[in-house]
Amino acid sequence: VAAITPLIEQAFLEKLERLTIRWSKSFPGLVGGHNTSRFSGPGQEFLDHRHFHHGDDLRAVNWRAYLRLEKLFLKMFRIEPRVPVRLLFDISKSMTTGEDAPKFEYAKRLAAALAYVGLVRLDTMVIHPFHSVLGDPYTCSGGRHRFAPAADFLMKLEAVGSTNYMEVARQFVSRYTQRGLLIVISDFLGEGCEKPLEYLAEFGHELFLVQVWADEDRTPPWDGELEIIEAESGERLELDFDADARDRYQSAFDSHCDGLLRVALRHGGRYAGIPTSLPIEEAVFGPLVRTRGLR
Amino acid sequence: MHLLNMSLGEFLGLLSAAGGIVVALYLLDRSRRRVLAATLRFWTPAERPVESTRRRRIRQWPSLLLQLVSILCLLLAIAQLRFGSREDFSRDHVLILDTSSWMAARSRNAPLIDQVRRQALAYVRALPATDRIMVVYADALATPATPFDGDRGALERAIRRARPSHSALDLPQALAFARNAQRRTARRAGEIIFAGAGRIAAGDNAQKIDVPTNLRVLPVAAPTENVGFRKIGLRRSTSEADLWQILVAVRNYGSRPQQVDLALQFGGAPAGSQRFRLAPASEQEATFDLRTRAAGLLEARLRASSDPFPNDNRAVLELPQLPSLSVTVCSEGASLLRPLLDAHPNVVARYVPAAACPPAIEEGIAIFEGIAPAQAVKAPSIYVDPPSRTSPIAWKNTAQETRLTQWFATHPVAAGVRAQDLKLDSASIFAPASGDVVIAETGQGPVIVAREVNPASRMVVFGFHPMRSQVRYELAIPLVFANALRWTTPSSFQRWEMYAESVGSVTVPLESAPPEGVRVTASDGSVVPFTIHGSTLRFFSGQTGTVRVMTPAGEQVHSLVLPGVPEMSWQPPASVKRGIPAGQSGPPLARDLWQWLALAGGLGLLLEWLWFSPTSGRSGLTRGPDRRIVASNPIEEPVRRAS
Repeated sequence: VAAITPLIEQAFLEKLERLTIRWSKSFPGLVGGHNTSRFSGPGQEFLDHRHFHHGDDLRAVNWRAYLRLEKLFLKMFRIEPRVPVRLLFDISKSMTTGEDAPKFEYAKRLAAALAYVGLVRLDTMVIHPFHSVLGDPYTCSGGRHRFAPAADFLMKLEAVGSTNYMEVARQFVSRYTQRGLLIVISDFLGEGCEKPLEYLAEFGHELFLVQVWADEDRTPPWDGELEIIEAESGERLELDFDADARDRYQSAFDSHCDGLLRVALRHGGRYAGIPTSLPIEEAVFGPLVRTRGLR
Repeated sequence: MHLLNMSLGEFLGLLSAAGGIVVALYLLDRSRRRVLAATLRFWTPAERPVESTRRRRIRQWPSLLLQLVSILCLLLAIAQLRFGSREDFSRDHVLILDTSSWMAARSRNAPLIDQVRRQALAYVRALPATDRIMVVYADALATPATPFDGDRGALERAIRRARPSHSALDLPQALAFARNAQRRTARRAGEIIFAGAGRIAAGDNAQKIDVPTNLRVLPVAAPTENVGFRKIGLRRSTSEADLWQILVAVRNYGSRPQQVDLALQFGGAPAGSQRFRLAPASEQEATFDLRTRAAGLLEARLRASSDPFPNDNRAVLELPQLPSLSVTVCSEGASLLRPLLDAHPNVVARYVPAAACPPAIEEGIAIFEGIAPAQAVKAPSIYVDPPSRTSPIAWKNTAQETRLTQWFATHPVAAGVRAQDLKLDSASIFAPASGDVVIAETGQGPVIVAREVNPASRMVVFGFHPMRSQVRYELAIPLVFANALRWTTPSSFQRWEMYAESVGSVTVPLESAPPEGVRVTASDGSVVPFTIHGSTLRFFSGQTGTVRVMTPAGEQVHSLVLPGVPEMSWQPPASVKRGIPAGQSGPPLARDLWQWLALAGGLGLLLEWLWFSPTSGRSGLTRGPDRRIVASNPIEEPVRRAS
């Protein structure tokens, strides 16, 4: 963990160790971390030690190490989770907008933080990059020391193509039939994203929608004659923009966000809207924790 | 402040065109701000059609202003904006190249003219490109090689064409010429540059040279030692017909004693030699006698131990063939003229009786003593007491016991004759025809008459025999007879004097020649201008060659084969600038600004591209906010509702 990628600083990683990815539904199969399940699983295999944190199960404390070092270490065991936490990561070109705080880099750091939280809690994390199609997944599990490859995978992702949520949802459902927690990190600014999300939720996945937007995505700061160029399609739109238009724009954007929230709540999921101007640490311990996505 | 490369109108035209293009492109390209957005779905409700009638607005004033200022700077750089007026910008210099004979002297195995050329070229290249230069070759005359010219190629060609001449340097004249050139034709006088050794003739007082205040000297390291001919003179002996008297003057111009060997050769054969030991700044003369009547080349050569200037160590003169006058004397008996004719070394007399007298005289002069042929001869002739019936001048009568009363002294035959009251026992009185000249006459009429049909056929008729009466004891008689011989065949009695001298101004003393009879010609026959002041004739020749001074008394041949040799070195005052200027010389000139303007223009365009180009953050195609608007989280409230 010491040689962690610069995506996330060491101090922030230590803080993330207190968190756990939370889901409310029960899924068939083994799960990791501290999520309860009414489905039983096979035995455990010792994997690693970690520092003891308040609330940990005392039965897993390594007392021998305590007698020797006078520090509490928690024994961790390898399990084979059958229900991985899947993370759909939007790599379309729309994620590249936002000059001062690019959405794409911000979303990478957010995904890395979630992956680290999952790995610490021995969850199996599967990262699915997508744009118009579903990309090759990356699976990581087995503790914090598997985080570095996952971070490298995220760092190497490049924004490409345009978003096609319906096609991605169709491919996802057809390839991965096992239901589970599905974290979707995107700006959700593409056309027709609500219906595919409902489609995924209705399939049985528990949705955790993390919307990342740049400030200018919500409140365009420009005035006058503008030529708007869509990042994904290159389509252009000329218009005259003023304060009234900005209000109408912001209202439309907020309505869209409300729609996403309604989709998530309607199917027992969660929604977190995060501007890129918000520091990543505040975003994790703020909106993500408040929405019960992490605890 | 002015523009060097274009006029103000051209500059304003270019600026207007470039500025108009920039503004037009700006209005077409930059008036509408381009924004890269993640989606268009929220923009559509806010869209409001752009009013077509609305004038385009300039969104990025700093960008447009920066572009216009940058283009202005670049155009000013192209136009070469300069501080200072155009008149103050360029200066006119006069570059005096020492092309005197001394520049042929060798130093370090190279002639001094090479150093002069190098110094001059270095100076020309050190000057600002806008300065004009007049190149002047300076020897005995100051000759402009170029006008005031800014073409460096033409100037360098003129400098490379400079060659050592044969005359000495007349520095005061060259400096005066340069001053006059700058005063009359220069727009703004620059410097007067003298590139040379500064060796001048002794006649030029170095202390009195008027040194211009703007003089710059490009010194040339020149030797000072020299031994050479000062003058070589030849004259025909008056006592011996085949004798040439030779005078050779040799001078040591240096500061060390020299031992030199002088050798004379005529036609390749030794004609004399002498060894001199010359003290510093001294001159010695030597005389030689050369007996020859043949034409040929007389070569004089000096050999010195060390002499960096060999041009004055050799002189060659062409000696003409000495003519003699052939005289055929036809008389009835023994000629009484024999004492008169044999007294002159150049006269070769042949005495024949009247019966054997040839009908035509092909060479020389014919003297008919007491007789006259029936047909007048075409050769020059003298008739002494001809018979009245066959006299070439109409006989009028015979006078007895008469006296010579008048001489026509302006005629060459009577030149120098002042005798009066010469008594003649008997004399024929002539009736001269029109065109005949009466040389002497008595109270009854002319007794000596001259007739000139053409210059090759002159005739003098004596009405009495100069050797029969009492007049033979008078000094005027042989003088008149000699004058008659000289007038009838002037070429035979010319006095020959030949001089080997230096080119330049030549002074010739005249004995008693009337100015109208003097001619000065070059070897090609062209007339050389000359002046006569009193009894002194002066002419100038800047080139080597032969100049003939022909007077009625004789002919002088001046072989200008010796170079003019300077005798002293001019030391410029300490206040005179020396050497090649490091940068711009003289007062400060207009400053070049184009480098800074070009830099500013390029920098401005670069900054404009960095700040306002489509790929930069400040461009119209922007991705970030120009002003930060802290977005509120619209989900806070829904999240609270959901929780």
